[in-house]
Amino acid sequence: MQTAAAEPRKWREVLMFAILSVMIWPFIATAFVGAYGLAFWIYFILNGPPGPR
Amino acid sequence: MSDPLPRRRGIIGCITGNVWYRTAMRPAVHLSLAFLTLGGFIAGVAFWGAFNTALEVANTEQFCIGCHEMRDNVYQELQGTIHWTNPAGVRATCPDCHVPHPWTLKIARKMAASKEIWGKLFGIIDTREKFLEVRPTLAAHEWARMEANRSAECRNCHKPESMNLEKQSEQAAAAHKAQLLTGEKTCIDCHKGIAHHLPTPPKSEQIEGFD
Repeated sequence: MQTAAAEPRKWREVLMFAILSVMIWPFIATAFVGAYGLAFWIYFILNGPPGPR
Repeated sequence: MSDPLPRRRGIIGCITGNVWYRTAMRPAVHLSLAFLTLGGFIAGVAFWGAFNTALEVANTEQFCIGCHEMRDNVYQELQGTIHWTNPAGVRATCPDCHVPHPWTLKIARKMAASKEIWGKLFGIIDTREKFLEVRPTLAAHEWARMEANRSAECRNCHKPESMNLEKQSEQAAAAHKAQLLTGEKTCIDCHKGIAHHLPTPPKSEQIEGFD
């Protein structure tokens, strides 16, 4: 078992960095854009299509 | 050195005690700040590019007619209209008219397309008969959208202020002068069914929203 203040191994830190930067953050970013679009879609369903521009 | 992440008990402790979680949430020990920011910078640029490329691919005619519902119905009808072939050789593709160009509205439309994926999966309009049955409803949606935004997608190309009324027929010039240039009406109010066939009332009574 790891002790409380044990440092992470280097390979684990590098791998976690890779996973975060190419999988987790892109997924979260895409999910945010999707949620943004979904919010507008729901708004348009409730209030009619967007007006003049 | 004190532990930056105190250990907890229970369900939360199961997550926060995980070695990968702890690696992710504590300051890096082996990787420099310069490396981490550079990595984030490069990943950000790559993501931005990939996202926009994917968005553009999903905004092409080839993508739209990837489903036979589009290819066999509305795409066939577009061919032969003025928006398909004309003296100037400028033509409109599906997204030019049917996907809003401003970013927010475009993303909203992309999310709305999840309903089309639903329709594809469950075969809502997978035959010509089914398509003709719901066509008045589908047309009504698109007309309502264009009436609300005052034919914004038409006006991406067609500018009323750039119209040369003298080159139009007398009837067209008179109508444009009286109704378009006064702001009373926009393109879609008169020019329905110019790129696809107009719906014919279906056999069933499904004509709600159809005017």
